[in-house]
Amino acid sequence: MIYFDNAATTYPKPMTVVRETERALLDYGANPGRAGHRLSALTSMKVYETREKCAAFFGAETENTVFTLNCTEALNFAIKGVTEKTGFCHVITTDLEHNSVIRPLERLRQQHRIIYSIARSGDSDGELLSNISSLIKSNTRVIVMTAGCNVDGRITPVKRVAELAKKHGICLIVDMAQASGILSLTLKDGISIICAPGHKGLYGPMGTGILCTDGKYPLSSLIEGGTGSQSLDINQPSFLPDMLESGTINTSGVIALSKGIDFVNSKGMDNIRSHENALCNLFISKMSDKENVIIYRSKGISYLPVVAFNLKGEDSSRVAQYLSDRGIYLRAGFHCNFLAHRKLTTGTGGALRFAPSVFNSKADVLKLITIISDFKH
Amino acid sequence: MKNFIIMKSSTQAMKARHVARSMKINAVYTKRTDKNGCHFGLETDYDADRLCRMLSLHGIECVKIIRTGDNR
Repeated sequence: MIYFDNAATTYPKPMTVVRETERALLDYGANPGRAGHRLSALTSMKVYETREKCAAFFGAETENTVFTLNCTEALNFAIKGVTEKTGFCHVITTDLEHNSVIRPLERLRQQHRIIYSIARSGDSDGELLSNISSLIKSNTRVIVMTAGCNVDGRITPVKRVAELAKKHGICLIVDMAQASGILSLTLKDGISIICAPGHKGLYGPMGTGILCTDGKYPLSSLIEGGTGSQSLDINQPSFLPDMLESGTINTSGVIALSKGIDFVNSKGMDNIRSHENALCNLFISKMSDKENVIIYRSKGISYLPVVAFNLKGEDSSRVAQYLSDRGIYLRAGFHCNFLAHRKLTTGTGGALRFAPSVFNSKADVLKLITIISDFKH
Repeated sequence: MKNFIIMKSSTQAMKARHVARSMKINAVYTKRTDKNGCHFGLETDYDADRLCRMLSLHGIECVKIIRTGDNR
């Protein structure tokens, strides 16, 4: 089996993550931040250590680092939390966004809580930046954008948008679903809130996500409940992380995420990116020779190690099924991102997505190319 | 003589514990309950006022100090 669906979830996980998950279930099995007994304190300590590690990874204060179930939940907390505090306002996003950004925005629009504009990404960073800039109004309070598109891997000029946002006093929320563990973006780059999954480029278990805020833009809770703090108060705590962490967190997942971050730090993000980009370049160079292949990439744009492609005239899901039957796993379809697919004009069949991880090799890519070359309509 | 320093949250208490330990100060992460609810904080033999001053330099707010005997 060869797995190239790492943009959805990295697999396999490092053995350190697997073992730590087991260890957490065996040895850190009490609720963190609830009881005072030794097992709870020990579990709290392990969760705290992961929180500290995530905070350092994204340049945040430890208390401003919140564990969520996934990146989608973090984005919902950020988008809805900030706009509830700002009151009715204008939000800018881009045409590269995943449904985890555009759906919360659309929901808020339908509730008459915001209006939003979608900046066209065009064919260059400069065009995207210029389009975002031209959409800024006097009541623009938030820009929410991806650091790298989950369909074709296009990297966006986050640092330059951060400068723009800072100049206008706008909160910048960045979706790092695809970029975490690949690009070394942190809050120190001027981002207000980072939302990231634990289960992709950080090699943690599914059911883990992270929200890091610089604390300059207040948030409100979406879910209220037990936090282990201020238990006699009917109101949800107003401080982080408790405000956004109602109910028991995915404790074993969070503790194991710590080992995922250790793995990324030990490999080095530059090395991981370089390895995965080399595999993408190999894939593109071999596939470009074929007449019936469409690769969705443009010159002058930087990409994460993700490649969207199609075989002309073929339904992407049918090709993916053909590959799956031969032990190669890619994701086809629309990747929960109709905006990017519309921009790329992938058509009614969507596209295939090649997304290697640090565990893939050149031999894996060559095998994929050999098998895909034999595909018959 | 153990004093109990109440922190805002379990996370703050754990952070305070790490900071205290980095300064070789013995402080134990502890939960206590009183009429105001549940509290997480540090139990320590160390000078609580001094420790709170040091913790504040790390952005940690000590909500209250309960000195031995206060809660009897």
